[in-house]
Amino acid sequence: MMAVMDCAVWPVTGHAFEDILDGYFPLGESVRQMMARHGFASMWITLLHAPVMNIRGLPPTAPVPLSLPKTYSGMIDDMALVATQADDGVRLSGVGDWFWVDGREETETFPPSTRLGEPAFVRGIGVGGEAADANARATVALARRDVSRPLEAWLEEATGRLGWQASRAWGLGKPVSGIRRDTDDTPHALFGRRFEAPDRAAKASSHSSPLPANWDYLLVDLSADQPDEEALELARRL
Amino acid sequence: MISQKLNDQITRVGPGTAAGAVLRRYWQPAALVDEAQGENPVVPVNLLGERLVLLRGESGELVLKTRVTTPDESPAFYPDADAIDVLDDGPTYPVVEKKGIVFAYMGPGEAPEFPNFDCFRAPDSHVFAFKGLWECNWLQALEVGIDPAHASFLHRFLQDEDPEDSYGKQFRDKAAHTDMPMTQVLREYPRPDIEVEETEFGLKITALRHMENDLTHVRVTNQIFPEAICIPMSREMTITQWHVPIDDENCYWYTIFTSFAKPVDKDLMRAQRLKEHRLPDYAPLKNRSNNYHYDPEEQKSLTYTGMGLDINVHDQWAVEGLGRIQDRTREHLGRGDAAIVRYRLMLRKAIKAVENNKEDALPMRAGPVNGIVGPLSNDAIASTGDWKEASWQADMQRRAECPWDASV
Repeated sequence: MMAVMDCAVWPVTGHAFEDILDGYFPLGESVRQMMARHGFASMWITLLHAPVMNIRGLPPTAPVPLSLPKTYSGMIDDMALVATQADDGVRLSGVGDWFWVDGREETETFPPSTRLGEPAFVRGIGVGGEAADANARATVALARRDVSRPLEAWLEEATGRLGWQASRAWGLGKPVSGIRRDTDDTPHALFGRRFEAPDRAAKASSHSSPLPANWDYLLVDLSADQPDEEALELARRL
Repeated sequence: MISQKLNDQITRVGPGTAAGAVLRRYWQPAALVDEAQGENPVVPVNLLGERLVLLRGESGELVLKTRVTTPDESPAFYPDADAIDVLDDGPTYPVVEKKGIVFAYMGPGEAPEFPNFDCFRAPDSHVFAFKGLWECNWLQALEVGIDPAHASFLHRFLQDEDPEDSYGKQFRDKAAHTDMPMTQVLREYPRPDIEVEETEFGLKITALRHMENDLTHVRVTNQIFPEAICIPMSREMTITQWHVPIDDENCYWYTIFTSFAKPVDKDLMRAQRLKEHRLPDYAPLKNRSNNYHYDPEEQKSLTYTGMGLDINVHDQWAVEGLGRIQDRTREHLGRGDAAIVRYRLMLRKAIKAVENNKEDALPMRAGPVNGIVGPLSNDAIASTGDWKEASWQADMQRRAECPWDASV
């Protein structure tokens, strides 16, 4: 139905999903394994109220510890992560809020070597790394921000050009290095905001261009008329 | 593996605690109606770390008041009525009788409505309530009930009983429409795929046991927030069970057995359970002090635990064996513990919501709940590709044949 588009929006293989991140391994490793299970090249996930542990001196490759010394425990209150396949595993970036029980470990960045204290339920969007089949309806798209235009108008138009009635968008709006504390300095961050296609949306283009190495937003199809009801339900729950 | 402090946050329930504040936003089973017989009942109640008494208030309605206590009382202390003194300046909590259980509301503000679950909709003739004491924290008691895999091990029967003799017993009926006893299904297919779905009342938990000939056994159970489960007992009955804290280290299970087609044989159900419990505190006769009547010979030939045929005893041993409050600094959950992971997320979200005065964010506290029905809870065997529809249809058929309004 559509191929790669020429408006900085690329329909791609992928889908919204729910899963459980394994506990006790370094976060980066659990994320890498989750991506491998699903065959994702990159993904956006959110974690809520996830216990973590940071045991000083324990190498990331060390076996899962048998017990938790009391001073190294904490909790991710909420966290939004972008994970991308890298040569040496997975690259994590994102924003979130977390605390450590003893209060001594407070830092502005969250090391990906931190281990989850329990398996953690996550919702997210995974991307397979390939352009969507031109003959199939994609339910996920990558978007690169057009800084010359208001964000809302641009994402509404992009939704229309994808052939969707509505979408939800996630992204930090600018590159973030590592996992940082959530602050107010990401004014273009989107955490599932809904966009409606304009009444007279431009037709999808058949023009092809390579998938971008970097993208700013992930869009998920929220159209009521999409054939896969389960995909729609997952997109709504995100 | 969480720190003791984080474990305390989700386990401790006395006044002023985080999890206790969540539980107090919901109706709590306080006593069996069986305990409150006579014109002027005076029933000791030990609930959420408080020492209370159920009696008639000035206008004749049942209320829960604080009673005078002494420091040496045991957690489930059950004094005679004439030894109970009411503490005049303590709080008074409202109660309602529902299907054999006296429920109390111990939270702030207006008490919530009851959802229209099957156990509350069924006529009195089709429900039976009972309770039992477990000497452990309420959360570990609940968590065994939302682990669908445990039944294949903890409740493994090495020989199957005659399903014709299954009335009132968990897992002894035939599985769905087959001649295969449930005990055989659990024994032969011990590694279910587990799907967990958040619902308006809590969690729907589906365990899929893939069998031979492209058939799948589907068992649907539920977690009802904050501390109840609803599970199938047989083709005829469901179990709705609350794990109600006495204090941090002891709890009562309260169960409403709900029958769809036929009235419950209450005398038989009560007699079966009184054989295993003592009155008046409903303490189990098999317990830690007598090693749960463990018999190694039985374990060789009959049951996985060697602790008899009552599955309640198996669960009791498993959860009491973790200690009074499970040490979660040494715990290792896997993805098979999906429902436990999802439940703890719900509980932590609820704790946060109460702390931030956002009670609307709590399950079943945001608006009318009389439209919440069911929940669907059954066993079915279906073609692997068709299990969702088959599970739904099995429940619909049972409801359609039911003499009371069990429509969903």
